Amino acid sequence: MATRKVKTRSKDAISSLPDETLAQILSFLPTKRAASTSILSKRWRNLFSLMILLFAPQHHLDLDQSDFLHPKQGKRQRRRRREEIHKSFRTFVDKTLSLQNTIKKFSLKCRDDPVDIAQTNRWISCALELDLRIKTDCEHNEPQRPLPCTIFTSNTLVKLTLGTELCVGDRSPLVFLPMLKYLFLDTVYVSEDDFFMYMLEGCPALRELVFNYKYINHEDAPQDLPYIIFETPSLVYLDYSERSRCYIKSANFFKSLVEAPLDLVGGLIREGPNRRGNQLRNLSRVFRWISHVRILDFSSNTVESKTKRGWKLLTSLLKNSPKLETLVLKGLHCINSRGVCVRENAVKVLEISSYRGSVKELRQLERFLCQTDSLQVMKVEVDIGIEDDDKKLQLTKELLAVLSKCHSNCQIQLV
Amino acid sequence: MSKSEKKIVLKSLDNEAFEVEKAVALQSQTIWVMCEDKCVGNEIPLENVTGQILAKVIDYCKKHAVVDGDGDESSEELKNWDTEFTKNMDQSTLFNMILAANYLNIKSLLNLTCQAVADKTKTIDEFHTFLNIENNFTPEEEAQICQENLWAFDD
Repeated sequence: MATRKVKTRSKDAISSLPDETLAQILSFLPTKRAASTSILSKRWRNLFSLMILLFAPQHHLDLDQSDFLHPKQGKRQRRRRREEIHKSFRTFVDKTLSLQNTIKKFSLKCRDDPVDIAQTNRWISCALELDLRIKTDCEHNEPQRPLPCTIFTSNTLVKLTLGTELCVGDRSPLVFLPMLKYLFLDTVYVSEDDFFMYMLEGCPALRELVFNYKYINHEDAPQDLPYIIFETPSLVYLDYSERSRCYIKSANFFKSLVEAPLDLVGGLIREGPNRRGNQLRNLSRVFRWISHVRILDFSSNTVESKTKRGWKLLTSLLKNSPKLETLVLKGLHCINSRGVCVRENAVKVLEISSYRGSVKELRQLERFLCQTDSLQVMKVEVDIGIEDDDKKLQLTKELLAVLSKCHSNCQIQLV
Repeated sequence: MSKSEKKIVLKSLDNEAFEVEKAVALQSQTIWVMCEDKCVGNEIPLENVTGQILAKVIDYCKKHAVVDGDGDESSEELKNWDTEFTKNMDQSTLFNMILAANYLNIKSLLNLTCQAVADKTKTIDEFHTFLNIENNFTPEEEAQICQENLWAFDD
């Protein structure tokens, strides 16, 4: 009885919610769904606009045209409808962005129409306040039109994500992003390599950099690889793929860098012999700049190489990073019988993923446990291929046996 | 209201009385203004909120008052607590919570409950039913709005 009473009350209650509150509810819905509420009733027709006016800073404005970008090629009617949808989308984006400039989170996925370049550029400029992500689908290989130069000069931009296969411009634009803290670059075309060389000089406040740059066609790669000058004294996180094939010329972040997922070995091994000299020189630079790193993550296929050199390299990496506290390794099952020497390091946390429990793996773990006095925690994640509980139990027993053999106080976590 | 009075009594629509710490109750801007204006005694009548809802609101305020004051709980924990708090609320409770948060003017609670409504409605039809909205468009008007927002209705 009591609940029924409340229910009737709540029906009246809902209509008594002020427009502002309804708009606040809308601000938490995905943009597309929020926009579709305009069809609910006369009252709701303008609530989306009200939401943008009042709650723009907390709404993630996510305008995604990709849902209807690639419909099946069909009859003429279908094509007409597609054009109508496209038009309504562009009108909507225009209207919404003209309402407010306090939008903090804005994602836009849209067809880059040659007819509407000026309009799209205006939208991009709207997003220059805090966080800008520009992504394209890599479906077609034709070069993209250049990005507007304005995105590289902004006094307010904090986070910039560019990828994949975007084109920076015909000439290298001037970079001035004094507030930029996060930069994510994934395969961005440049016509002049000096763009990368000097780009970071314009980002003095950078804290995190993910840099993945490669030529799409190997034939296009010039013999003299471009290099980068790091003028980033606050950099704490660097995800730099050696496949990026850029040399780090001077690096002003030795002391600040804390964490670096590295993808060195895979890239080095695959290259031809003619590049070897250069690579070794580059590698010694890498050793220098990771000398203060506390977390090294080799989980991105790095050491999963079957060659001896990959593992030898790990030995020297460990030797050269005296401050290393956390080491993440994947693919230990590929380790060769000589293993990796782990003396003289201060690793406290060791994380092994895709553990299969082979003799060689176990021997290497034994080395870690017996030779690394500082080791406190060893997390072992069993390979997803192993589902049998008995097998897992057996792996646990083996690890514990090794542990007691080494008289180590290390804590082992098996997942 | 003198500073020595640390506790106040909140009285619900159905005459349920709750004695709470002043610091807890003052998270409500409405109560804060009432206290400032000295227009009420030590007992504050809240004519728009039932005892059942008021009890929940007080739970929320207690949790948040402790954290803001002592800082002994991490914001992560508080966030989890918030999620649990609204997770199992049924529709009518949730709406009454929104109304109460709106009336009492507790911004963070209003935000939390609005988010909960948004999270609980996954499709436009659910939203329709959940909010119990009556469509008062003529078919022509509806067709026009549909045309204007074609992209939003294309699934």
